[in-house]
Amino acid sequence: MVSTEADDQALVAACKAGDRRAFHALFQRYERKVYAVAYGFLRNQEDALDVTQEAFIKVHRYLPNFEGQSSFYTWLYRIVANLCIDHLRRAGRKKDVEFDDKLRHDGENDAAAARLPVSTLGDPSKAVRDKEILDAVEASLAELSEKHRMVIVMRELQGLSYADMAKEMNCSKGTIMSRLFHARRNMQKLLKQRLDHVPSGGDAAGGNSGGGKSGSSSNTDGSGSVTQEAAS
Amino acid sequence: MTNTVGTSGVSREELARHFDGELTGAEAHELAAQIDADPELQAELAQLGIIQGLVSETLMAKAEAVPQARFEQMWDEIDRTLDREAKASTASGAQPASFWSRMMEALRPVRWPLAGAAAAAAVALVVFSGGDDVGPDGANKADAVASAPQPDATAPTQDGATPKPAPTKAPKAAPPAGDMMAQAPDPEPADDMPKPKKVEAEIHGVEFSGHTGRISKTGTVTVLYLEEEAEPKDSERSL
Repeated sequence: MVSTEADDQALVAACKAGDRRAFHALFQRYERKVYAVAYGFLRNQEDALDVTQEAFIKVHRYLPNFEGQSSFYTWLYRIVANLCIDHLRRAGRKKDVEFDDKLRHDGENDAAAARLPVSTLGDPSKAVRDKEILDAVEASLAELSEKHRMVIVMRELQGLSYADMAKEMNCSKGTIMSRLFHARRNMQKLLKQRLDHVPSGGDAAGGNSGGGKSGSSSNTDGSGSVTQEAAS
Repeated sequence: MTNTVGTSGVSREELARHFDGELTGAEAHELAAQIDADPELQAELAQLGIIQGLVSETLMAKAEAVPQARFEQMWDEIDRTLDREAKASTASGAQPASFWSRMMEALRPVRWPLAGAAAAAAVALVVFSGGDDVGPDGANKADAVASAPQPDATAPTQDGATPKPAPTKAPKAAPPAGDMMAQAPDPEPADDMPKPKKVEAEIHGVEFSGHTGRISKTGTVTVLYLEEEAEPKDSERSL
């Protein structure tokens, strides 16, 4: 189902008028996306399902207060992110936060060496059909620190702006920028390590997409040392 | 150590901001021109795209793997919850809902102990409210509960002293049934009928964990049973 902002607004208006079927339609439209976000944060199916359910109940409860200043899905995803963060806090899963910088992407040349093969992974939707690649991505996500995983999920999946992410994580935009930068580099490095051992990876997908203007898969980047994220 | 890509002097952070749509229009326009001219920038940008694609596609694949029945089940639960909240809201005068219902939900784990405490308090109140027939020593003639029916004797004195039961009103043995019938029109309890006497009781302790509580020191002992819900115990999350 293709969801458009206009559709969302119409459904939200109907929900506000007390139309439960409209709310059901919203639920069906976003159930899996919300779950995906929750799973990205929590890495546990049952926890993610619980948070998904809680999120929709909360959405319904606070829908009368939703004034449409942001899009519905941004609002919804922020609720989900909040619930996930609360869940993690309650669960006391803080041990890896303490090791935020333990996983470091060192060295300048490392940046180039860690480049992922565009020819293999250029079309991620095809690439993840390869279970080994999918497992590698999931394992890499799991290995990230909690903060890094949060920013990755909020940005890459939810598409939240830096400002929204800063609000969610109660920090500055600069911190978010830095955290996201390092999270991506760590993710890249972890993926590279894993995918080097995936023999079928090279056949998973063809294509050459990504950020848009790619075309080169050069590994000769000799510049760009990265600084470590300051305690964030 | 530098943090730039290739020879363009563009920093990776700036490239990431461009990728994330966080640059202003003018900045983005200028950088786009540089990217067009620099394969290194293009390669770096492609990496950002791959990571974004892999993360989002992987998580969506995980979501797609969840059976639809789980979401249908979830909707049923949501629907029931919304119904409950709507009823609570209606009952409370259509107010924005559910502060109390949420409070009740939050207090669910301690509801039984609280109910038990309330019940014990109520029993104590009832017992103490009429406790005027006991001697100052507190000795409670427990057997008099069923054998000293003296309405007049139960009235407290003006000075607050606890009256003693009037000996002249001591109960008599129950008359034959025929005699009782003959006195029928009298709305007041018959003198010769055993009538509970209001007495003072002392609560010597209530053990909620043991499900019992002793109400009287001598004689009558009342035991309150408080049953715990067999299940379910709420998880922390449901709070």
